[in-house]
Amino acid sequence: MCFVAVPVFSYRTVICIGIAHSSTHFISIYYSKRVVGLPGDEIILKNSHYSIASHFKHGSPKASRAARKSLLRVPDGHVWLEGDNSANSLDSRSYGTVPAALIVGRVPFRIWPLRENAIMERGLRPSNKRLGEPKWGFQGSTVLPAGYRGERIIKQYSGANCKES
Amino acid sequence: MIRLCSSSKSYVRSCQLARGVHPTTTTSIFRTKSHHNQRYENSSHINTITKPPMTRPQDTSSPDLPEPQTFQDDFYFYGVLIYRLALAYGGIYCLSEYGFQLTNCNGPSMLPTMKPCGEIIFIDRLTPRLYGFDGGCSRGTDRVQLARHRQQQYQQQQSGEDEEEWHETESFVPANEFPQQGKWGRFWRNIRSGISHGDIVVVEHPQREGTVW
Repeated sequence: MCFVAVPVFSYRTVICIGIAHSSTHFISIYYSKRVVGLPGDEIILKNSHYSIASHFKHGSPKASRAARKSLLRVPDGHVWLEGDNSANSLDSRSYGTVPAALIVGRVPFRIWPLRENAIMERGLRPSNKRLGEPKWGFQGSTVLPAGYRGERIIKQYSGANCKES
Repeated sequence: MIRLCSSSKSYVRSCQLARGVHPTTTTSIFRTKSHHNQRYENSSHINTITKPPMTRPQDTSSPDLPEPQTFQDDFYFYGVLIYRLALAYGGIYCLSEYGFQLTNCNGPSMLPTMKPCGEIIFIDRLTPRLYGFDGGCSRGTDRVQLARHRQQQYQQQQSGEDEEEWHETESFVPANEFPQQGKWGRFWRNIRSGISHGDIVVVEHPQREGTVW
């Protein structure tokens, strides 16, 4: 929906044109996902039974064929998208990497409803420590950033550090 | 009242006799009807007013005067209408295609962040076009080199620390673990950068008809 005031028309005409224009946009359905991987990142799928340790053990050129198949490198000009609700999301785990040309835009904040924090923070999927993780656990994929060689990862934001191996 | 009337009639009659006029003949004062009586002569009620007869207006057109140019007037009207329609639709289209767009979202795939229904989100379509990917490179090899260069700089700053550490930006922190302080600063910093890890984006479905891979 788009409501824009154009000074050459009355508000009724502008609303009619806006609704007609937005109805044409509804024809192409959009999907909202979180960017998990960028070009050069390596993706380890959750159900591939392939751990980070085995990756760096077999990450050498002598790595086995099965290990290489389980590892996915995001190609140039593509992104890896996943929904926050990993157990109930149809995302890149189903249809692979997505060309960046299909990205319509970014969602910086929410308009409605006016509850809690409307700003969509840039970060990983929200951890559900307070409510507890679901029984089935996290079913998303693990992302290794571009250039990563198996060091201990330090996730840092202004004023505080949180270390994770 | 009756006495006054009869006395007034007898007074008029005596005056007529004095002037030599036959009293049976009615004088003009009784024969002439007042304007008020003429106006309500045919009306059944005193408040009803008879309208004057409608007269057809005379045709003022003459062969000397030019006829009204209706075709040009209509052409001008529809021309202005089409122009304004195109202007309004074009303005709305450009703003929603290259600026921003409001849309509602449905579905449980983004559940902790967005509710399954009834949420209206703001889609920023301008800054992804301006900045592209964060860092300005969309090639994997360039991003690997950039990340390793950044890692070397970080290790030089952290001299004496454990070198087996990989420094990552705040985009790898869960979105709900950020402090409330400084959220507007982070917001403006994210707006002025390209698409990075952790951004929520709106995409067209990659398996829809007409998509070219």
